[in-house]
Amino acid sequence: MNINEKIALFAETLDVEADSVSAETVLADLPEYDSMAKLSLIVMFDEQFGKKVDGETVKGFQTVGDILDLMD
Amino acid sequence: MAFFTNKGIQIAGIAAAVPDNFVPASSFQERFGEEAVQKFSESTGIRSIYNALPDQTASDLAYAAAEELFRRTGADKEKIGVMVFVTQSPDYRRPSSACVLQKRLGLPVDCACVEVELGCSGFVYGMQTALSLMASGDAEYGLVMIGETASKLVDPMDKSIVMMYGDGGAAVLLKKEDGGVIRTLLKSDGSRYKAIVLPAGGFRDMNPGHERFVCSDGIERSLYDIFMDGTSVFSFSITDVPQTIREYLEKTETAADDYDVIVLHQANQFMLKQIVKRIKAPKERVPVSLDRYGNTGGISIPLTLCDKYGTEKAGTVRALMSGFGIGLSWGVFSAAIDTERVYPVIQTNHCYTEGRFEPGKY
Repeated sequence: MNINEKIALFAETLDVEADSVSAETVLADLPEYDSMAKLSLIVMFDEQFGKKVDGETVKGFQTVGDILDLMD
Repeated sequence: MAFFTNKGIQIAGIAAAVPDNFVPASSFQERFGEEAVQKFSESTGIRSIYNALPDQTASDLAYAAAEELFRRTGADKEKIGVMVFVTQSPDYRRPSSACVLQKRLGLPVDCACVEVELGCSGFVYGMQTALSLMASGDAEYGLVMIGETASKLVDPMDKSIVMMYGDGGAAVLLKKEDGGVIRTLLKSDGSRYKAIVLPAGGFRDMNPGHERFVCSDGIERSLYDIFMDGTSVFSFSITDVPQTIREYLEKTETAADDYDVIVLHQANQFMLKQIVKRIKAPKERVPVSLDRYGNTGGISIPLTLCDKYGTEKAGTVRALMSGFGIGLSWGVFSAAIDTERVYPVIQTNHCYTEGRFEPGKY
């Protein structure tokens, strides 16, 4: 999965425009990054990558890039 | 694997009670704003809850359900040889509320009464505890009671929980008789005990101050308020729980489709949908009651059964049930349930006022 595909998947999960975010985007600056968005990310990782992402991992996310790094 | 096979004991009746205090989600609009309440209802599916009255305890709600169960079934209290009461909201620090309930219900002295301190998994654990006690003993009848008033442990300004926790009680009659087998799978993971916690008031920290501070989710609480790490609990609920249900299905050589009804702990609707998808359950067989009662903890399984089958009978159904949450603790069990013996949810304002102690008067 290349970087653009990863950003597209992230954008789809959070329901934001893909061209409005980059790996450097700080999550705290994204109004869409709320508690429901965090739950949607957990679901996405489980469904798309078979990865169990726990609460501690989610708490550690600072930038969009941190999330993209887990998409392998 | 903590897997249990129970033969020769059947479910002979189920009753449930909620407090006579209906609280629609809309009543929180003044506190949190219309938009926040609407968003909460949309994401959780919860549109109302029932909160215990100020003097009403978990045992009062379980008591009302049990009395309704005896009234409906006509079962002889003298024959109850095992009673399990599940709660995390006891009447006193001691004695056990199970003993107080024995007195109130008029159960015989020849009845083993025990309390199980678990929350959302409590119904599954309470059932298995009673089944195991009955299997190795001579009791003809057993009674599982469960009650919770978690709403009393929430900071009123905690919008993440205060609109979610409903209170309730339930009671199940067990009877020794031939019929289907009840199989149970239980799991615990204490390494995640901090995921849902109320730190103060136990013996680790009996009387700390009531100062409020900001928790990791940005919400203000004191040590006396319940805290839930929602993200961790969600992750647990949509990964560990379906995985355990799948293990259960494999162990029992069944599929979700083999069950007439699949009753999952009513945590929130988004979570329910995710679990349903992961266990490949036909969603029309997964009843929802949280929209009206909220998250009632361990009561949610019997409450949902009473809500569904209390008025609409469907003969004998094969039910798969799973409770999961605080502990972390979770379990799955299945049983044949005669819906003629599942009674409508009642509302109660019952309070055991005699249970209050006055200084200098005891």
